[in-house]
Amino acid sequence: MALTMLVNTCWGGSDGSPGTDDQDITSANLRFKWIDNNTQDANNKIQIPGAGTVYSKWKHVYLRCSARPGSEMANNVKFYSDGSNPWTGVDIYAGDTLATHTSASNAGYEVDDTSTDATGTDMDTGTPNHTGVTGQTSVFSLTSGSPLDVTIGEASSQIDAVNEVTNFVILQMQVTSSASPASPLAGETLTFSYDES
Amino acid sequence: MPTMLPTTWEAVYDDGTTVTEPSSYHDLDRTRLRAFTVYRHMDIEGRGRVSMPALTVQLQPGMRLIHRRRWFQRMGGGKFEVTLVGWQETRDGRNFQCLAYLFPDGRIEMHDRFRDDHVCYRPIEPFASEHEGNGDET
Repeated sequence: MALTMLVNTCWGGSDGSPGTDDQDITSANLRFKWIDNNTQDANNKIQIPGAGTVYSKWKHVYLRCSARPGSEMANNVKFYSDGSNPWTGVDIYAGDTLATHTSASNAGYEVDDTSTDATGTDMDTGTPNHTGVTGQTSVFSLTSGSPLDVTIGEASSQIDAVNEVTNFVILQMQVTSSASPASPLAGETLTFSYDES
Repeated sequence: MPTMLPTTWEAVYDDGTTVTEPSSYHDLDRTRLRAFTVYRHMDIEGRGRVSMPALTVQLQPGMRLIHRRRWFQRMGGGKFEVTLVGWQETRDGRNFQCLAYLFPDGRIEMHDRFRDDHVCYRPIEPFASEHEGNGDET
């Protein structure tokens, strides 16, 4: 007897109201692009800049309970990488703060409609940015020894019902002029950990 | 290669009665627990499902049960469980812990405290049902 917890993402729509909600990416990929979708294709690639940095559309990622066979509950959620960036000139950043999200509300969702070209804006310091993000850290600095605390906005700060969720982890890929062309980049695995009883 | 399934548990009270899943862990009266056993389950091709007790924690009065299924969900696929089971006790104002971590490869690690330096051994966060005197408060 165990909860079924899925890794989900959402995109599009408008602030507080994603156009595509609760897309299951547990066994799929998160695709960083310069447009806002997670379609599993090679379109809308991020262009390597001649100088400076360009930014993908930011991503909202979270855990969602899709099945609860008994009285199980979950909490103590962490998010981390293996600590080794396999790429040159490319990095993924996670917001240090999480955006508000519950089964009843997408209040912290902010659609990335900041740019209609391929340059994007920094989710933390750009104009505009994601107002739910205050500070950001490379996911490769988030390790098993120093993971990101993934907070839960549901009652009692625990997940104990179907469709309950964690708050949003906000992710964004940054690409500098030192990157090498690749389509797609070699994959990198990120991990959620949680406790259940 | 066996397919590991989620662990389950069986609790034994001081009067000998037993409680197993699907009863709720959160409804256990931890002040009356005397034993808590974790069971492993796996599907083995050609043999079907195999279940076996993996570890029993014997609890004396004053010892408070600790139990979690600690899941690791990799984005892109892959999930595994590390089961945490043990107890803690307050003696002379000090907190003592005895913790076992059951890994999916069959290995069991014993620790005398939680650790903040690794996600696998991090402290638990009490659930709402685990209140002072009847729970896993740390």
